[in-house]
Amino acid sequence: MTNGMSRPAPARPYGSAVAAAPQPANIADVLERVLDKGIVIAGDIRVNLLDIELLTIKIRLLIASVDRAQEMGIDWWRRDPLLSDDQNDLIEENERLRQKIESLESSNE
Amino acid sequence: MSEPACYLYGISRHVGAADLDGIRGLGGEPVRPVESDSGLVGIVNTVDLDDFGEEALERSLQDLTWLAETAQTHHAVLCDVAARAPVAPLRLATVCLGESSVRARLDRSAADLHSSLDLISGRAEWSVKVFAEPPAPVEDLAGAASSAAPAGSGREYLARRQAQVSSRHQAAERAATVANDVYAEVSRHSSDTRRLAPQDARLTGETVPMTLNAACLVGAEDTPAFCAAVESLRGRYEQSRIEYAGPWPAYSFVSVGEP
Repeated sequence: MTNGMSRPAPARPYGSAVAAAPQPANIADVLERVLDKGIVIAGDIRVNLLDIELLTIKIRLLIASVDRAQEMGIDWWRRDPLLSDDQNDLIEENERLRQKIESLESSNE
Repeated sequence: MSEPACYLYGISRHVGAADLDGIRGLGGEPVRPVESDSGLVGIVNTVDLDDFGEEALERSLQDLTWLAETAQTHHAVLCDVAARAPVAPLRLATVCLGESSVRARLDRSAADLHSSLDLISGRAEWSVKVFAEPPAPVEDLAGAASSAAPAGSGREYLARRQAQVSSRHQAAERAATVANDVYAEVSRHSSDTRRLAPQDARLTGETVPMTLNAACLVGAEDTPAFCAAVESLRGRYEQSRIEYAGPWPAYSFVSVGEP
């Protein structure tokens, strides 16, 4: 993932107590926290983070160009969510039924 | 001549310039401490108002690439600081017009900030996620159902759809049980836990839904037991993918009431 960070990984605060930290934060975890969690102190510059809630980001991810998403290491466009399987099922089923009707109609003629 | 603007990452205590040596933040600027009378230290770096003024921020926050990079830098600075001293993370894009303004804000919320720091000192946030089991292959269900009805018939189709639906219901129930059990188990090794909203499949890039997205506040001394508990849950629920990650700054366990 390219994320604009070139610093080395920070030292673990607990030293060797943590044998193997499984994973660093991915972009979804980071966005979820820095936009929705953490202390809110109103600075002098007022920005409305509510305008860019996670929901908006999800939508933006969907319409973001492949190149951009690839830069961020997110490859959701390769695999559609589960629902698309159902849609494919239905399309196939419809096609089968349509053929059946056609064959029935032609045998009745 | 006005003071340079400060981007505020988080709040700490007993942190001097030497402790932050080598940490670079937004725009590659060195990260520095701003100490207040109330014994709190703001972790800041100088930013240009051309990039972090109101109009520029409104515009930039809509730019996904900018947002992702800024979020990663914000997180990286907090991770670097957390490796050296307890730090209460702030939400993204807190900008003050100068150090005196930072101090005034720390002093105003001093009581809440001190209690947040008391709560997270010696502890870190871990994420535990559970993904549902992959769905049973459709062919198996069709095979089981078709023995009762000739292939291609309407009855066979209905039987197949019913088998699919009931298999999905069972899978959903099982997924909820696994998620609750994992949450209960990791809570036993945490000082505090939160159930965050499961992340959307489009955001995670996973083909199976996330059923648990837990944030756990884990003490340094409890960390080995916490990790061992997650490993043992992985063994117990081999079909459900269980991910954990950390230690992170304690974003999900700090808050300040509006003064």
